[in-house]
Amino acid sequence: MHKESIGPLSDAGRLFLSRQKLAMLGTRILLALTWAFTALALDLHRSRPKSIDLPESQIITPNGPHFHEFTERYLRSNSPDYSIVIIANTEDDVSKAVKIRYVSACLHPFFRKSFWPWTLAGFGDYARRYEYLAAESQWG
Amino acid sequence: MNIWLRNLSGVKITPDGRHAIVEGGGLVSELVKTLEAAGKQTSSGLCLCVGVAGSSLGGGVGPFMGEYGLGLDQIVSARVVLANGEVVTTNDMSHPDLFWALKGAGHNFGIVTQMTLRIYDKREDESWVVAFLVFTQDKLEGLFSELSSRLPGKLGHLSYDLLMVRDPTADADNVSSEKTAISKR
Repeated sequence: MHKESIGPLSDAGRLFLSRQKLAMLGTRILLALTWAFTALALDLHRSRPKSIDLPESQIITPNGPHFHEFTERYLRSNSPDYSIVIIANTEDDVSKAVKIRYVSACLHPFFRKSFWPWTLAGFGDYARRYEYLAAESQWG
Repeated sequence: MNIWLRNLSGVKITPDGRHAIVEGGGLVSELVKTLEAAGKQTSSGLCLCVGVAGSSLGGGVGPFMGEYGLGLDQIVSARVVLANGEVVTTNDMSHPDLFWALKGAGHNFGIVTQMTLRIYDKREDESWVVAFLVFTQDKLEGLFSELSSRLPGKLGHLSYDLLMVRDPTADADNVSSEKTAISKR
């Protein structure tokens, strides 16, 4: 193999190579950090409860250990396809349970644009559309 | 999403004996049983297995409505959880518009967690009869005319429900009028 000597480097040349190596090192560090954060984010994403994992029916008490988890999952799913029963032992429980639906309604663009802040004070079809069935909850 | 109120149960009679306080998950059976033990009665839904609040907010059609009015006419006050979670007490003085709306359409405006109902002394000489009368469609106009001419006023103690049903399996040529239960205490 033929190798051609370029002779001793000047001071400017050495400075240029030194800076180039530093830049490459910085780039590698950035790539490594990017990969690490991406992996971490993917892992976090996988560990998050997904809406599709919601069971068809859940029984939750507002003061129970899973209440906040349930709230987050429910709001994220933003779907009326689940049958969810909240057990209210006190008037305060009822208030908390209602607020879930209140927040959900506010998040929904249909209500946010057109009907907020009515939310679900109960307006017939709108309330029924989102299964705010106070009536059923009071039928024994 | 359903909110299960069954644990919010209980019926109490006020010290003056004029009202009953029913929790939002209280059943008609619990109301009747409590009043019966105290020698009281009121108008409520006929079916014992449903909630007092649910049936009364939608009307409250029952055996005493000829005497006292519908179940909703007995409501003097109600505590309601509104959609934003706020709890308000409604009656003729507080939130009167909401109170008016509750009586008949209460299912739409919030969740009632407690109601105060009028109650009455039970009559000692009470006697009653329950009858199911079946008519074919050609008698419908005559039936309504007869009932309109007699009620209200002339038969104030009578409560009646009209149920119009299309039953293809029924024998229209052999419809009978039948008294199904008679009782005197």
